[in-house]
Amino acid sequence: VLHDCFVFDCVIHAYNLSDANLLDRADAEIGRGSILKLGLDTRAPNSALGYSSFARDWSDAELWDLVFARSSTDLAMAQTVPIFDWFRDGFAPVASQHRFAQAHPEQVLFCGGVDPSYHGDAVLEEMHRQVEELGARSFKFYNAHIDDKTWRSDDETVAYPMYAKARELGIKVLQFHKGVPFGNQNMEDLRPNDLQKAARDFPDMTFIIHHLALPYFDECVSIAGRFPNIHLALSGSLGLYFVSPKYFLRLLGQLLAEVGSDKLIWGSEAALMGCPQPYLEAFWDLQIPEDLQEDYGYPAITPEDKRKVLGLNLAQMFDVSLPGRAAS
Amino acid sequence: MLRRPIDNASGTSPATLSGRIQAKLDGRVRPMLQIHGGDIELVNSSPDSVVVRFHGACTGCPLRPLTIAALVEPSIREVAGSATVDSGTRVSAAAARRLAKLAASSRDAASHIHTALVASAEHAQHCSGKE
Repeated sequence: VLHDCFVFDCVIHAYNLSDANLLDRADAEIGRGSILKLGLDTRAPNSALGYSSFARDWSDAELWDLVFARSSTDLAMAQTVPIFDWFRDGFAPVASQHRFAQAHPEQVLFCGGVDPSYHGDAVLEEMHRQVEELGARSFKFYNAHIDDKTWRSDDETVAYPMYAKARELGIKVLQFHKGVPFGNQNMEDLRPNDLQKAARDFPDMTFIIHHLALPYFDECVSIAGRFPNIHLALSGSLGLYFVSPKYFLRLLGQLLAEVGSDKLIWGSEAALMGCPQPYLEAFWDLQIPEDLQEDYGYPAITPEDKRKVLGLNLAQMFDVSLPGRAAS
Repeated sequence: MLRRPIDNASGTSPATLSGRIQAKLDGRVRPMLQIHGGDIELVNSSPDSVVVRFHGACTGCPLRPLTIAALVEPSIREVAGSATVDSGTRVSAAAARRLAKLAASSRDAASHIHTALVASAEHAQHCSGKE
């Protein structure tokens, strides 16, 4: 618990960025390299905790140490990343996330992940397996790919059967990596705009956009501001606070003003972004500067805003009971 | 999903404060918002506080604070006096001061326009009488 604040991390990953998981193709290293570089460039000082390389298969013990033993995180969701373009088993495999959640059922929720271009006709069966056999509470999607395998989130033939299947399985929250393309994928394939029709057509489902869809931030804000069933996960974006603090605070100010703290969700992106604690402390301590309030009209951020973002919003979304102090 | 239908003045009476606020919203505010896909709902009201919430296109609009200051709050205040208006929209104290100033000047401008229109109408009536 951070300053009596309940912390529920929407997105941690048990990565397998090892050589053994790389496909034998020329651009595989480009894909892995861009992921590793993202972490290296924006990882907070002192968050690596002596891990000299992130390009490996992370063990449960290492991830537990990084996320729970060394930070104030109370609960976390281990998310599959269904990107198979350069990885044999995805770079955050289903089995690794499930294993970590199974090892710590009181602290970790398992988020499954499928991709129609990889699972093909078996995609709905795989969704069924991940929910019924592995206990998935949500699904993660990544719709941009190389090799002409990109699909749109509002494709009624490709995407909608997956949403309908999720609904049938009792899943209410669907999550999308948007913006921040990896490797040499087309960045425009990760614009968040294709979630608008999906949100209209599945009004009973909640859609989470990760990474603030950067660099499509303005579209992301407009979409989340207008659609009651679209929420935003910060997902590693607090790393920007350590690189360009004023830039990040401007983003946060606009989010508070136009989306609202009720729809923002904490996400650390550990292990790639390192230990969550420096980010948690920074978020708890930060303020919207006076000049941004004066010049842009952004509201001040309150402790109540921070409590919502750091845990209360996600707890409500997944119907998680709060521990004693946080509940009060 | 985007546009939520709202009953106009359902269950409210013109004799009550909420009825008078609802009538003001229905008569002046909501038509202005609805022409571009927005809307506003009266959630509850008391002599001290009026709570409203935006819907449709208004929910993601960066100009919402301007709509509140120039249209919503003045309309509500005409029937609810100095009650605070909670619209769920947040701006900085600096922006709130600027918007309050704008709202005051809007009221003055509206008052001048109203006076001019009345004078113009009276003048027209006077001229018409002469004929």
